[in-house]
Amino acid sequence: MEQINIHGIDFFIVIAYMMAIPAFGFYFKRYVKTDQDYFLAGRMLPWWIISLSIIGTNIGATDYVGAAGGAYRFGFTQAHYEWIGAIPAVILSALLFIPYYWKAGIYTVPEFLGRRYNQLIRVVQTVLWGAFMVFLLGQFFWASGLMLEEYLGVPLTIDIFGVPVYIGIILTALIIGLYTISGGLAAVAMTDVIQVLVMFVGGIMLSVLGLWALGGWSGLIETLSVTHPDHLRLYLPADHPVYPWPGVIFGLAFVASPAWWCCNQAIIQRTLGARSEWDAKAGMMFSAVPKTLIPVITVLPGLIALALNPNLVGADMDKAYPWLIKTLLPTGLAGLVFAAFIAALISSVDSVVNSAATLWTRDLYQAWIVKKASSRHYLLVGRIMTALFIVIAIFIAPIMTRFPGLFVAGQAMLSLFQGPTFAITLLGIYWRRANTVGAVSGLFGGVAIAVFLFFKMEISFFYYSWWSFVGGLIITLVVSALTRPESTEKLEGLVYGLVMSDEEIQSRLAGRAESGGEE
Amino acid sequence: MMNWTTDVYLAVAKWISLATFVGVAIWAVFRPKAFIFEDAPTTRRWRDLRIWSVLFMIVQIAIYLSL
Repeated sequence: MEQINIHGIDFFIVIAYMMAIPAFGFYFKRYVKTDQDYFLAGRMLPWWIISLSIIGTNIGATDYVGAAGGAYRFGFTQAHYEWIGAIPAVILSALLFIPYYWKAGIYTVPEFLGRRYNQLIRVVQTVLWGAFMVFLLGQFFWASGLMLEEYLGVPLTIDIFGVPVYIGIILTALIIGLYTISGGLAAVAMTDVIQVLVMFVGGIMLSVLGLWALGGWSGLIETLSVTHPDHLRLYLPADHPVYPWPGVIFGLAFVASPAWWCCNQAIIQRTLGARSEWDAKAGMMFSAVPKTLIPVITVLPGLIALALNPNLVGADMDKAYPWLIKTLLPTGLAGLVFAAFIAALISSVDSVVNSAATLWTRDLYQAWIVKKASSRHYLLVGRIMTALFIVIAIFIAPIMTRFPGLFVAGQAMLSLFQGPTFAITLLGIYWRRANTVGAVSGLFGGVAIAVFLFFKMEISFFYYSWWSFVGGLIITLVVSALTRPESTEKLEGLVYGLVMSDEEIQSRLAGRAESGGEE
Repeated sequence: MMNWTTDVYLAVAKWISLATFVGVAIWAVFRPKAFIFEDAPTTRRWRDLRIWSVLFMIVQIAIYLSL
């Protein structure tokens, strides 16, 4: 594939954007005085910022490339991730989970599980999510290095005293680190708003130009219905190796998607920073609007590329999106679309870094190492953790090259533990009888099932989610039923039917939080 | 493990999807009003998240019926 040369006005647009975003984010440093300001934006976020920030977090540059490549290979079925694999779960999250998280006054989802069950589950969840986030950051940083090399000509590595130094990755880390370390969630959420708007403007422009080249929507459908009729089908047969329909429905829509939207700290953290419970719920709910439109800027370009050039083969199929940029965009517009790429990347990386730092500061450092310290102390630790995660990600990024498909690799790793996590969270909120022994057994049993399937059976990764969820659910139900229930006092404020909004309960919960989850 | 599903008509997948959307919409409609508006500064209709839930599900139904 030829290199896409960005120069002149395009280059100026990209550079200006890469300088403006950290400067804008850095502005919010002035509002950060306490750890709550840093991790939860001082609980001041309105619903519309939460919605856009959730989408900024959810959609990364790898999604652009991965989803467009997936659409090029498999067709419309790729859009399930944004529709049935998201929207019902968004509504469930808004109306079923977030009110409980909000009322509990927590900072993290593992913190909630720690209060509901015990500290072991909290630590296990923190370590699992932390590891996944590092993995994800590695993917994102590696993608950033490749993008900067491909489009701006920034060399991927330069040799300094025999040591390869990853210039593009370090440049990305500096841009993100500047405002993420200083401004915390407020800076991340506010920059996300700008980035999502840029993502949509750039992405829609590319799709419109693509459709224009094909003679409109009808031209696209007519072309594909002749050359690739299967690509126009939403569901593929049950024996499809990647997107079997039972896997999409049971694995993605019923388990992986609710697990992602209801239990993922990077997603949930924005709602915990809401100024009211209604804003928390509405913030999640209204993210369904941009989410429904995401296939227009990710899946549609893949189909357009297929209609225009069906000759991409092998790994080049994953480059359908860059091929489209190179082929369709005139000077000036290429810079804007590339800025959209950068926006998608940065808005995901900053959120993951911020959430990973929140998890490790709150659920490991504050819960186990220094339990009683000032707010400013935890603020400082949060900033150090943020810097630490960025540095770790820089070193992890080159390892990502061992994985053939960035998008699939990330999803497969997540599939191993999100099913059982969703099972114990769901039962934790809605079944009073679920207890710690049951949840620990369900979590480890479910992960064991997923790992077994992963290594022993060659099946779509959607099935790991489904069977590990079913296994985790059954184990938790059975073991809980066979062992002693939790005391009502422990469950107050955390479980369906025991949520109260009176000040006594809230102050008790706050006291529990200050003591690291132990009363 | 899921081999039996190869004998199921592909159209069933779409029907399960539509049933899911309808089910979520119905579930959302029956959320108590006090719960929906908790903490809301006003109870104006646009803040009623039940209406939005139904609307979003209708959009999904339309998409899945048309593709």
